[in-house]
Amino acid sequence: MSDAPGPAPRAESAPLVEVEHLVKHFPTRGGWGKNREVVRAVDGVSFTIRRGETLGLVGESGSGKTTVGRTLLRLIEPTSGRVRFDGVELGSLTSGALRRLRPRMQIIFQDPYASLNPRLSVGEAIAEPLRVHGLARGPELERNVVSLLDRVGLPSSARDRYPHEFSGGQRQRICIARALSVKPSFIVCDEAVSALDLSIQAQVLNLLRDLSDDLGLTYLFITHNLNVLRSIADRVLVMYLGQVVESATVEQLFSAPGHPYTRALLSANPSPDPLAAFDPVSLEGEIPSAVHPPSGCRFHTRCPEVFEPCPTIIPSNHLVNREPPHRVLCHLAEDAA
Amino acid sequence: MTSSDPLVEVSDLAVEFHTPRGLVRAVDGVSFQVGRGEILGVVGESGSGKSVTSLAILGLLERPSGRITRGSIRFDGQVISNLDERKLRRLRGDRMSMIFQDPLTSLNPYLTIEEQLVEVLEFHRGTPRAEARQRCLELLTQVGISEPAERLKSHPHQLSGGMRQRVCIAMALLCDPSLLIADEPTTMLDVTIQAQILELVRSLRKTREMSILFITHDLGVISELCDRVIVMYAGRVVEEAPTAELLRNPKHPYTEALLESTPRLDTPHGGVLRPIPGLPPRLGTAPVTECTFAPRCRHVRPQCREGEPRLLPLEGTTRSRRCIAPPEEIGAD
Ligand SMILES: Nc1ncnc2c1ncn2[C@@H]1O[C@H](COP(=O)(O)OP(=O)(O)OP(=O)(O)O)[C@@H](O)[C@H]1O
Ligand SMILES: Nc1ncnc2c1ncn2[C@@H]1O[C@H](COP(=O)(O)OP(=O)(O)OP(=O)(O)O)[C@@H](O)[C@H]1O
Ligand SMILES: [Mg+2]
Ligand SMILES: [Mg+2]
Repeated sequence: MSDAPGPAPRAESAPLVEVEHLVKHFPTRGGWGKNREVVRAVDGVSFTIRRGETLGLVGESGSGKTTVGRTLLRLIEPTSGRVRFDGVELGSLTSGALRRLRPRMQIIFQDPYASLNPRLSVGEAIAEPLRVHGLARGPELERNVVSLLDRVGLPSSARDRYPHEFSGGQRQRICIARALSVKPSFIVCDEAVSALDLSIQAQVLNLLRDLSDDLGLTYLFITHNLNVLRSIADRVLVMYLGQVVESATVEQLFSAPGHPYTRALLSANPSPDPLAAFDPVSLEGEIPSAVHPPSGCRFHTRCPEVFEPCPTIIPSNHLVNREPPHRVLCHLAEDAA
Repeated sequence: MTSSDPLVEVSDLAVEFHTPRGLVRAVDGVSFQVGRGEILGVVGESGSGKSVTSLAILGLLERPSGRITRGSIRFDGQVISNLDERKLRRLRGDRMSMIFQDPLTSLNPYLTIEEQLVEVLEFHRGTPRAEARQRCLELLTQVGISEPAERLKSHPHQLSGGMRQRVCIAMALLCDPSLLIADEPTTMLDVTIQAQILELVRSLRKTREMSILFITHDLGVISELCDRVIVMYAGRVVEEAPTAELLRNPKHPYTEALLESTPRLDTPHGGVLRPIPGLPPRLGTAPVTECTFAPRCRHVRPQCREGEPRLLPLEGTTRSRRCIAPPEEIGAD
């Protein structure tokens, strides 16, 4: 992709993505009329991503990460909140204008197979977005497809085969190649490397990192793999039950995790060293539901450090470090002087 | 049949797929055993045949293109690689079950979770509905699903990726199988829920003597959970060893290179990750004339090109490998 235009010269720190108080509630089957209950999948999430930055998103399964990614790209309508992409408020765009913006914002879905059309050959699947958006054709299109396959470690012969003929990790790489084909400026990677063996994973992570360094490609990187997170992310958001409970640089998060949930998470990461001690902080109690989130601090029902205010008083966001900013949503956290 | 016989015995298994562009031999001469109550880990290159081997055990190879062309699979003393579909259906989901790599495709999008789970118990056990529902609630709770009664009424798309994965885990455990094949079952789970699932698996092994074939790319999980590990490359088993020995002191060059490409928490941020250079071989059906890893191997020597080494025990150990390089040249010692 060396022939791609470089990023427009802009201030290094200009945000590409700005999310303000994003909310997404899904209706449930229970309840009637006004009492109809909702799943608070995303419940007031705000963040920005700078151009060329990789923002990691981790958190409990079911905490709303995929929903953040999908509402952010307006693949589903948010209940409320605002998203600006490159200065443009997405909610204000006509569907035509949104469609023209689409190639700049891609997503690699969590379920690789379900996101591939079984009737398209791999070559067609990768070429499709290029064709649809009129970005390449003829021999150039062919060359693009082959070079993309090569970059994700697949032979060019993969072009003529169909998704069902591939292994889980091979399909995931097809999805990555497809997302990269339109030379987007922003990609939501939803567990994009989870099915890859470590060698291919390293190759793909190096590729994503190079694209970010060379072309200023920006990522929202959703992952459960803390080792991957550590090696790719610049900053990290930690989610629990629809909210961001901690935001920090990757160094801050791993060296001084501020939220008890983050600490539990880091302690539960198994090490491949058979001699390493493995002693996860166990989270007692049932996992609460996003339909009836606990009062006060949402984590209080399982928090090993719970104390008086937690069950009743909603914690505020504390800025535990000023520069670079490190925020923690917890009664135990203290603002930096 | 004594209880010290292995529960599963795969011998010299080969699997081929007919495709419009010719034959693909996805698995070629795979042999291994899973003991009763043993957790056998499987790691390996993407596309090396881990899922295909599992599907072959369960008789779920894609039809009519895929078939077993060589070797045999024994389950509890009985050859099952030639059973007819009717008999296999009775075994599957009951005495042996599988958590598939792709949870979305193994759930029916049009049915609620309740309909799918209850059906398994009805089919295999004839369990009355109310009782079946109770068992489902129990299992969903064990895999860490909140408000399970609510979740039973959901359709798959209303759940998060990790919730769907846990539903699949629950479904595989419904009938208390003797063999559980888990194909990347925790890729969508955060590490705290993963720890809970691993604990559940360990306890089932202990209380029910369940045997488990656990496929994963996560060496941390391997280290935490598995008794022994087999390493696959290009449709073959290239190394087999007790877990700690394999992770600390690999004796096959592929395993060695794989371990070196691990990102660890102590890798500095932005530090280089080291992928293995080169591509895996094409899985055609041409006769194999050299070690399949030779083109990418840093310990390669002329003899490696003269024929494929067999999987042989490493003298004085309980491990084996498919390599002729001197063992002291590879790994930690
Ligand atoms: N279409 C939908 N209808 C109803 N509820 C939904 C829908 N999509 C998601 N949810 C609910 O929203 C919550 C958040 O789901 P989401 O998929 O965003 O979680 P996640 O953080 O991505 O989890 P995972 O790590 O398991 O993928 C969950 O409780 C889920 O059941
Ligand atoms: N239905 C099929 N038709 C043709 N080829 C197939 C089919 N299913 C699998 N293959 C090929 O067989 C090989 C082994 O696939 P398998 O799914 O077993 O890999 P795997 O080891 O599970 O990899 P991963 O870690 O990526 O899931 C792959 O190269 C794949 O392309
Ligand atoms: Mg998700
Ligand atoms: Mg697989």
